[in-house]
Amino acid sequence: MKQCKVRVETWINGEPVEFLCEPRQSLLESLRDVLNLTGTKEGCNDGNCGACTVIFDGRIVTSCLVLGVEAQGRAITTIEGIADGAKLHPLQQMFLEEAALQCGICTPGFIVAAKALLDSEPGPSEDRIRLWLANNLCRCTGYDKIIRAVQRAAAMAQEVKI
Amino acid sequence: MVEVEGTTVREIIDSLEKQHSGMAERLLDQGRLRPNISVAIDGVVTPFGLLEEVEPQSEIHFVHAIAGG
Amino acid sequence: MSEQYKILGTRPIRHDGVDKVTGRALYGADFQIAGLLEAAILRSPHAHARILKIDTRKAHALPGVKAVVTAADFPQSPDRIVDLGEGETPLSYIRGNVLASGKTLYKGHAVAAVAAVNVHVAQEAASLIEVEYEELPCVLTAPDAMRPDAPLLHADLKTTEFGEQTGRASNVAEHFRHLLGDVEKGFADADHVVEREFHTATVHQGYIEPHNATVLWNQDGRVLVWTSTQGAFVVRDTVACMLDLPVSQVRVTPMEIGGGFGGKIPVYLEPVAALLSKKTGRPVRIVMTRQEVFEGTGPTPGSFIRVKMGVRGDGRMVAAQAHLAYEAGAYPGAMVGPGGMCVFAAYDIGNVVIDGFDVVVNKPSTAAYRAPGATNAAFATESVVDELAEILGMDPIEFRLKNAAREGTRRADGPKFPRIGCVEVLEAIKAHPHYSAPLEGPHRGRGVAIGFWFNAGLQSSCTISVNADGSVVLVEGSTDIGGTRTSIAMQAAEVLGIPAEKVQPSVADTDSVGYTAVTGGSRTTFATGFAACEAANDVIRQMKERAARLWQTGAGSVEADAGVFRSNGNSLSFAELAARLGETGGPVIGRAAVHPRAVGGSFSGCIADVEVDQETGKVSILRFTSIQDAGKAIHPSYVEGQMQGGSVQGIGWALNEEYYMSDRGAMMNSSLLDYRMPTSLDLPMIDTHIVEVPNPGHPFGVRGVGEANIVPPPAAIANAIYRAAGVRLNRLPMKPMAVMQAIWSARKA
Repeated sequence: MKQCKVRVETWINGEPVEFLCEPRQSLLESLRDVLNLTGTKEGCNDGNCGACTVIFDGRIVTSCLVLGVEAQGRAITTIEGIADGAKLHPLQQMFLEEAALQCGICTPGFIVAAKALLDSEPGPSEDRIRLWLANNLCRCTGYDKIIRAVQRAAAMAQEVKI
Repeated sequence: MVEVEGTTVREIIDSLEKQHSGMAERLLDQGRLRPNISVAIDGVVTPFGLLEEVEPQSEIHFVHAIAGG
Repeated sequence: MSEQYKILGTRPIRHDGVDKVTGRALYGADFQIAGLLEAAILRSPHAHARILKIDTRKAHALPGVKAVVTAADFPQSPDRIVDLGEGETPLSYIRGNVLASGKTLYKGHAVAAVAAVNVHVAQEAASLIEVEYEELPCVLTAPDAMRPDAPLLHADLKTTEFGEQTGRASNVAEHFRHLLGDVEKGFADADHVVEREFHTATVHQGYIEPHNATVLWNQDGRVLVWTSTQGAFVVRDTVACMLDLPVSQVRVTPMEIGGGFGGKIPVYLEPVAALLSKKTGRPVRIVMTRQEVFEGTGPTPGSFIRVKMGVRGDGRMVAAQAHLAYEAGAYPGAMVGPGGMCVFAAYDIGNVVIDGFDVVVNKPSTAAYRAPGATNAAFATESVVDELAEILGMDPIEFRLKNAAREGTRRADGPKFPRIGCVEVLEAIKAHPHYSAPLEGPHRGRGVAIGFWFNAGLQSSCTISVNADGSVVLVEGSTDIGGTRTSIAMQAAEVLGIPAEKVQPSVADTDSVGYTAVTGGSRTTFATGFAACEAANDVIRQMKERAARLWQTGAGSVEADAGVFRSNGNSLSFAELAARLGETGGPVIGRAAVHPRAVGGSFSGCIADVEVDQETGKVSILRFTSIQDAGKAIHPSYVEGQMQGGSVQGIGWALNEEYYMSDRGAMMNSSLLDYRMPTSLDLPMIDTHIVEVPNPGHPFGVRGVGEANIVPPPAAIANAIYRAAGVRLNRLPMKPMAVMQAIWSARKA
């Protein structure tokens, strides 16, 4: 079935972006295959692994369950927009220092999800972090070092504020 | 456990075949060690297979070749 | 090994780290190339069926479809036995699993593939392919498949028993036996004997990244492959073999890989994409859906295991017997051999018999999963050991120590153990604060278990080129799943005497590096690290000659230590000498190709505290500690990571993960919602303790650590559940309903 493409105007990582997509293409597919933003990953395509997590008008969503056309007029943040120019975000730096990644495929989803947490809640507890990240699956690390990386990034963010 | 003569694993297998007919068939395929079999000399798997030299009093075992996941 | 290392044991940032935390690293599905077509695969809906007819006309007619292939498109060369890194197999079995021919043997078995302008058109076209099947009765468990009246999967499969071909047509591909001493006498001598039966469900490796492959059958005849794989050379050899090409005609470029655990060693997509590319003249990409990953790739065998062990009143184990029947899935090759080698590996027992059965069933053809076969076996053994300890009134660790395998212990499969760390790991469990920490509260219990994995050696190649600024480029062929490019670079850095950051590791394609075996079998830091050390030694030797030339002295008088070259009062740092290579003879390139022999096996133990909810049967992990012998931990953070990751996979295996099969052989839970892997909310922090009993076979004492840590958790958790709830479960997973049923049965009794 041939679908006519729709023109979508949106903001991605702070920049205005225009693209064409078919109505049946998910936001995930639009990011990866139309816009070449391959940092967001597909793990299951049904919202159960979190590898495709992006920030969508301030809240985290699994982009495989959002349609590309729904991005119209929205502000989206992907892993490509987390670093501040040449400077890594504290989460990225702490993931490296804490060795919170092994194969790295889930890492973009975790970093985006954790950023949304730290942006809205300073100093979350371990339980709060675990709950927030429960939709991001990791098969390599057992989560221990990921949680520690998020805790350290949270602590860094609090120091900066003081 | 059997005692055989030989200075290389290949000679060992030839020796074994004389004592127990059919052994060579189980271990070799067209003169080469079957790929799913490894040779361990004194507990250590050898990368040289049939070519490995053995000492008197060496223990030779033919084990499942396994790698892992 | 009491030397102080400068680099080993430190925790540098991994060389590929920035790319992986910024999303810049390119995994297989990220690869872009002009003219790319996308493909989809049509899979059998039946667990066992004959293919009567395949009609692809409607698929071809759909606009945007460029090619359709089936097994008929493979070169029709005669069948032969091949070895593609997983032991001997008929080529027809390997081809048959990639695209079915004649019969489909499991639900999800690939039957045809379509290449189209995008994946949606390809999927739609695949659904338009009409296949006429004749459904056949199916078998789904090893005991059922072993019955004399069981439907047979392969007309040509005849049982090999004790190494000899019996000529008996059966679903049992192989029956092997290991014998030591005299078990009848041993059991007769025993004061206490426990015999139990265990069942483990099929579980999947659960890597987050689905399989992918992009292939271009180029106009010059070369087949170019980009894929996420644990072994670029295995892909090359398999693709070449299946397409009847010489290996030089295939080049495999390994992309970054999102997890494997053994499941990305077999080849599924590359040959199909190659056939489609040949027909279309364009590059073709196939990426599996998650459902395809569950139904079309190799999980680990489900199994039926019977273990019987006998002890004397003083705690000495005197006899042990194991019956291991593992489901191979559709094609022979269940990892029951390794199961048989590991089942009693932790113990010194003089009288042993182990029977192993490799049984085909109508489920996906199994693949390796992290210490394949050992976890199933340890679930059985370590539960029985726990029961015996209780009967004897002995501490579970003391009981194990009394019988622990050591250097020189003879294993049931024949050889004697070299230097191993079984005792050291047990002592470390005993000494760990977790072991003696109070555990208060109702329905809470603590369990322990120990496990073993052999680890592999195999072949690795490496070259190191020296840059004029004193850094080096290290080219190796081990795809990096867990940080190994860094642990390998660190070993080279230690030998060269330069910082780890000055070694730039590069994982190369099959045209650019010498043959290197899979990233698996816990071999990578060990064997490719070994190659890196040898290549670095080669660099040092050549650099000494260059220094000698500069100082006009003999190379024999030049010493190299910690990155400084000295002779008769002259000295140059590695960087200073590197700047002068051009004037002393040209580039310096060190090389090595190794097949190390003295591989060190690894023992791993764990302590698990659980709480069992008496109303729901849910088991919560309160505290978990993993202890493992690493020989020498090159980068401790990544060693810890392996221990934590394997432990959590073991926890999922223990409590929730299973292929929930209908009685018609369909997996009912083929999604990440219902195939329930642990989330961050299910777990506490995973404490680790690294034991180092150096492996004499490696320059730095390295033992592979990737796998042994998945082996003990299910048994440790079963033992903990017993102490928490008074019931012993003998089936994996120990899911809430299973726990409740055991509790209810116990209450009735």
